[in-house]
Amino acid sequence: MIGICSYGAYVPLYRLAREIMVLEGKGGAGERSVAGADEDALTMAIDAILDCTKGMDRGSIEGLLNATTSSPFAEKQIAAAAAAALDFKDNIIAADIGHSLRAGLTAVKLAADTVKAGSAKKVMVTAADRRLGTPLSALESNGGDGAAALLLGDKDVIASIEGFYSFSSDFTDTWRPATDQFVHVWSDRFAVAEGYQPMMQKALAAAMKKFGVEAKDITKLVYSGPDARTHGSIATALKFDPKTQVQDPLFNMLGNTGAAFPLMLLVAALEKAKAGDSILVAAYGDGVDVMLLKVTDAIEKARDRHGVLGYLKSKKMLPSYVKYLRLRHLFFVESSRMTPITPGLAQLWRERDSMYKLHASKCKQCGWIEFPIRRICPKCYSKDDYEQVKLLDQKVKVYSFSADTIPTIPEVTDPPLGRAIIDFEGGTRMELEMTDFGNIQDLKVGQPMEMTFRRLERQGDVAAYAWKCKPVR
Amino acid sequence: MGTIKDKVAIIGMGCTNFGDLWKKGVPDLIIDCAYEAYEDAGVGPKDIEAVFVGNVSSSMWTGATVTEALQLDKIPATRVENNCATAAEALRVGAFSVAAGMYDTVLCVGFEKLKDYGSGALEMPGSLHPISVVGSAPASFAKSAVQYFEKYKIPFDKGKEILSKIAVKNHANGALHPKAHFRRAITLETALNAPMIAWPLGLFDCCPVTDGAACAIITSAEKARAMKKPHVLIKGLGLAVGRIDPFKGKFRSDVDITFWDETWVAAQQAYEQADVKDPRKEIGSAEVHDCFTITELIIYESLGFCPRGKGPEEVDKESFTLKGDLPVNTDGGLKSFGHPVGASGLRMVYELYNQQLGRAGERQLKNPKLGLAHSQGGTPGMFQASVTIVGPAH
Repeated sequence: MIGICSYGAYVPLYRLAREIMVLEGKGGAGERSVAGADEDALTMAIDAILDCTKGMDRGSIEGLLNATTSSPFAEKQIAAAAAAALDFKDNIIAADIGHSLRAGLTAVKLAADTVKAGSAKKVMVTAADRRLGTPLSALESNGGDGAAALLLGDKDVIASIEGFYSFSSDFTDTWRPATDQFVHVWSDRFAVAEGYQPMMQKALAAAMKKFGVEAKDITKLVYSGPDARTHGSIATALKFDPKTQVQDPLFNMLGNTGAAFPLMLLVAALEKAKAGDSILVAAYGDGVDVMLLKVTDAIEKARDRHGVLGYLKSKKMLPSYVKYLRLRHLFFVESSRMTPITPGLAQLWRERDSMYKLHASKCKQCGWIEFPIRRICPKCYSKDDYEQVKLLDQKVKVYSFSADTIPTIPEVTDPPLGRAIIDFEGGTRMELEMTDFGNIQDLKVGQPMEMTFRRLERQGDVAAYAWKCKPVR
Repeated sequence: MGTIKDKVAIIGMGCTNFGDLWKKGVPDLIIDCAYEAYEDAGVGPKDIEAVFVGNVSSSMWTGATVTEALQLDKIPATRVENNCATAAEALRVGAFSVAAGMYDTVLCVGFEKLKDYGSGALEMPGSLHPISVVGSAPASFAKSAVQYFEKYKIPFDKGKEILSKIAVKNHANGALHPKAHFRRAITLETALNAPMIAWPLGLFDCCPVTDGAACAIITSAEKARAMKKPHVLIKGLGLAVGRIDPFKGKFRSDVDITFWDETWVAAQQAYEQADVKDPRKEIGSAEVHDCFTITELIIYESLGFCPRGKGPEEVDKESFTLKGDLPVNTDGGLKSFGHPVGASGLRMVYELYNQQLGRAGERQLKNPKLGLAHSQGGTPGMFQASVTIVGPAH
């Protein structure tokens, strides 16, 4: 049986109320999720994988397919970066699959086929997007940021894949030129009437025919759509009961998270699913992918995730639209004058076991644990006689902290800069940046923290990321 | 370890005005302090046999910045750097060269021109390291305040008040020094209500960014006696450099950021050389590295002026004010006099020297006893700490 073995998701801490996404008058209803200044498709994918692999050995995963339309890099694979940061073994199949809003579900199909072909036993699929519309556009307002992660395999399956249907089309309604950071949309009179509605209906009908199911056989229909009204029209047309049979598209609390959207809605559905449920999933974009899932008894073993619904409960409202613009680098501030930092990719590469994998050295002579890896033991002075120990899954408490108002270099778009010293339960102390910390005066020495992989904003155009800490959500 | 006690004499010192010195370049700072010291010592450029140059970031390489400014031709010139302990290091190495009998007349100079960079606070040095914590020095030391309050169960408002009292004391002292950057006394309310720089440190908890230079002319104790000039003697020189680099995410679970270990060790070295058994009684005044108010609070304990955790009580008792039993930072310290990084260590000795020779004006102490200068570079977790003790020639 091939299917989903585990699920996880990530929704950034910040939300923006749509009513303040205007220059004058009143904006829309509900709120959208907003990635922090140091978050992007790579970092959110990693957070979703952390949620998906809670309590699991990530070293047994043999593939990572990462779907996104908003990779921070036009060239450089973010699946490889995520695999390195999460300590996957290095002989894995890693690929980025992008350029389409249905790429997440396509990645699930490719991962399932990889498992079926025997190329890998477990393949991780992530879909992550940071959705950027032009300021004050409907796409900006309807959009959201987030990620989902699904582990595909053939053992301990919580939802088996019963069928897959794919349909490709070069219909263009939403696109982003390679030279532009903003997503563009054509008139929705055309896009919905000629694209989304007929294609979704046709593909879902054809898929159900292929799978041999009817609407009444489906427990939950899960699918993406550009906005709430357009989304609602599909279920009605296909004779699904919108009240009981359709997964809430979460427009009012999450927003359309692009390539991550269908898989995040699927994760939300799995969080509530029961053994025996049939879930029909559809993703729209340059065509339609459709997948039929059957939930198994093992679903009960995957209940301790944050998931989409769990992360949605933990949030901080952005105070203003200007703050949102600043987080997205669309509002410029005068920088403080500080000596520029020269990025060191060679050094990052040499010290990747410490910096990316978060390994410490444990002295084989006296047992002292030190981060980063140090060749000379500070306690017993033994030389080059250590083993590497993993810090990432250890519990963390904060030893001390501050919020730095001084480094308003233009890249630090969310001042003040959080800084902390933390203690790992295994006995390692580390000074590092702290993110998503809210009001500094609310923090307490000794409160639990968790690790999150984030962009180092100060490093300019260099691909520099590092682990930071944040209060446990 | 041997001792430097009574081997080396300071026969002249100079110090520029500290401040936003927009009209002065690096050579001007060096010239202004050196010629004050020449006049004080009764020597000229041709008498200088060797120069030790302390600077962190206002010159490129070598000691030639000083030989060029002062036109000292083809003499030994050595540049030293030890972060905020740089000027103390120039004096320390210069003293060794005299004690070794190599040179009779040596110029030790420290300078820094920070204002030209335009940064509003001391920044931490940049690093090639990808995980290096980029930020300001205030946020580095702020974490010590958070942990100090936690450890000694000091309520936040009380903690802020203790820190603010240190700033009030240093501003009161600095107001009495004609060369200080900020010659303005402040009230407790002003300090308490200042804008937050790095939680919980506010504006008046932080030393400023300052331009300035200071220097000393030293010779052997014998030669100073023969010259029959007023002078002070070096009694002890301690230096302790840590082995952790928090700039690179390097920290250690046994590091306690509520105590300055390196300062403790450097002080013990200097006390041993100077035969100081009870620093609280034998030290007449101390110039300490109050880069932040929390730094000074912990310095009291790390220099052994009071037991650990008792600093706040001493602050409330005003033990370290000009009228206290052990005045600290009689010239205003880094907080009020300013902190040109490569100059501060010699600026401190300049105040001790003037106190010893009875030239400290309104700040003059009745009995200066031994003077202690303390510099501390780095950040909680890893310091370069220097302690210099000077005293009378008898």
